[in-house]
Amino acid sequence: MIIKRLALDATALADGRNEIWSEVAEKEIALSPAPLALTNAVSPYMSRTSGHGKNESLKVRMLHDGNVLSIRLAWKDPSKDDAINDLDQFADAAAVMFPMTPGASAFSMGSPDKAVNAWLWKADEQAPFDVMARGYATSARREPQGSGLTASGHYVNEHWIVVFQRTMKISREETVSMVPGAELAIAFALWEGSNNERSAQKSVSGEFVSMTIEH
Amino acid sequence: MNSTSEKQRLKSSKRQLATVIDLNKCMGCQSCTVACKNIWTQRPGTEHMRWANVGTYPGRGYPRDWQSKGGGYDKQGRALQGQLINIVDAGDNLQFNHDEVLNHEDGQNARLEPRSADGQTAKWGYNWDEDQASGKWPNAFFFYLPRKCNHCSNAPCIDACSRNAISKRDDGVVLIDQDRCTGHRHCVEACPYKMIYFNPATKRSEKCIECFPRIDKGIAPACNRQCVGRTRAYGYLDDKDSQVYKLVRQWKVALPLHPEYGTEPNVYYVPPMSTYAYDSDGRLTDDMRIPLEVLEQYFGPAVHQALATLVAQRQQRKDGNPSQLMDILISKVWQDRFSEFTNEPV
Ligand code: HEM
Ligand code: SF4
Ligand code: SF4
Repeated sequence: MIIKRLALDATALADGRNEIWSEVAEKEIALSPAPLALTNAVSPYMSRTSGHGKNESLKVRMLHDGNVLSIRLAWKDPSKDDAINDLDQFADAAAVMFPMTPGASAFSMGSPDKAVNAWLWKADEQAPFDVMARGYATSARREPQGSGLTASGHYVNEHWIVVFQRTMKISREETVSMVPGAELAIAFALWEGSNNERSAQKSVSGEFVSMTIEH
Repeated sequence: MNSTSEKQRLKSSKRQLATVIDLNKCMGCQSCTVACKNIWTQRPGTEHMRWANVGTYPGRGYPRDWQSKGGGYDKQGRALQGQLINIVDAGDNLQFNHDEVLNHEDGQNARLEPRSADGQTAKWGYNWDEDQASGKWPNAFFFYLPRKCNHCSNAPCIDACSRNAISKRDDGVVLIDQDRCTGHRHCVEACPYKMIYFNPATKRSEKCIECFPRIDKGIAPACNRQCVGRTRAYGYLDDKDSQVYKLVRQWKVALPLHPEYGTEPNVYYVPPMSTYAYDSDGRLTDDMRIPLEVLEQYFGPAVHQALATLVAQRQQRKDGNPSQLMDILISKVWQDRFSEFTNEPV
């Protein structure tokens, strides 16, 4: 797949509801429940649960203008979980993840010598998190300012529409680099709040899939 | 990183601090609850939390129905899935409608009543079933059971945390690193004692911290120190001079709560000897009012021997003979209870 270079207004793209998004091709991605058996060492409790992975597909649109890369995620979700009003409630969330080093695995969320970088949008948070991980249990949520990451989420007609945007060329270390003409490997995940999904209890797209950032 | 040995590292400690609570002396005054609340849980999002709490048992307990919410380990040491609790289970944050009653025009017609967190008339709250007895007249019975985190030696909360945010200190205190916690609440599900509480304001999980800023200065934890009934002893389990050692290891009269949960908890209870039961003609018998089967459900089969020892030692003392065990349980000098943790909390 190619992440097209299109001269569209990044400010207008920041709102996923904007008509301007109709100019960008959409791809449907199948999701499946994350294989919890892999997490036995970090949580023998979580690894024995089942019933997660309620979201089964995700519609993705991506583009860049040489300066900003935008990713729009849309999925059907009859229950809007955008606040934690009780001790047993969880919020809807979405993430995209990239390898920092070639060969890093999405299924293991990286490893000690092969980090991954993820952008995490949570329906109950004002701003996204810029996450670094080197395997399960290691993820660190970082403030998005350091990398200029922004996200917006809107709930329309029983659908979430989330847009991530990031300046392609940035100086922050330990952040995925995005260069026109280069490859960008990517993976997706969704958490369904009404189904108590969090951490590994989520739907995932599978192993990283490589894309080309159009020159 | 070998994650299994990482868990072993997080779960182990050099020594183990422990609390002993004598249920024969607890009068349910809630001083421990209030002492703890005053120090630790008055911040936004902690209103519902009672890290230290006392309930009437048998009963639904606090958090509500905690004994039927799973967690802990089975006999083979495998993780048993548990459930979350909601804010009402966790005791709620009841507010009275003072303003309505005192300041409004129709206040005369309003009824002063506690309101739940959701604004509705409260249907449950902390200590809601206080003094509700079990059994049949004239043999009604209950006992008070003060609780806090057990700082378990085989802590399932540590196993459950997918971020390895929970660990044991060298002294055995179990802490949740608030910088690593992201509020996933796997620990809440795994703790069979339901002694972890979610803070919806910080979106992180919290629990009893064993007053570590105090114990680091040689001051006993507030719940232990403030106990009006002088029910509590505190110290290291391997310190042969401590009352904790003597009651748990030597006399074996202080027992863990629900040992079958498999977590090796470190709050130990001297079981209630209770008063005598009446027979059908209203005459006192030699039977204890609280059925042994009931106590066995809480403290396991070891409760039989512990009670036998307690009754025998009490009789020995009644007969005018000395009893080291009774002297420990009475301890007229409070400092005797707390090993090296006798500094003043100035
Ligand atoms: C394939 C796409 C995936 C993406 C985009 C992704 C993304 C993320 C993100 C952003 C977090 C941090 C959540 C937070 O801070 O609340 C996280 C946590 C976690 N993920 Fe994944 N993940 C993926 C796949 C997997 C898989 C396949 C597993 C294992 C079966 C897994 C296991 C975990 C665990 C155990 C955590 C909690 C520990 C931690 O926060 O470090 N992930 N994931
Ligand atoms: S009582 Fe619960 S919270 Fe405390 S150490 Fe044991 S499992 Fe963890
Ligand atoms: S040890 Fe301290 S923090 Fe723990 S319950 Fe007692 S008073 Fe509260």
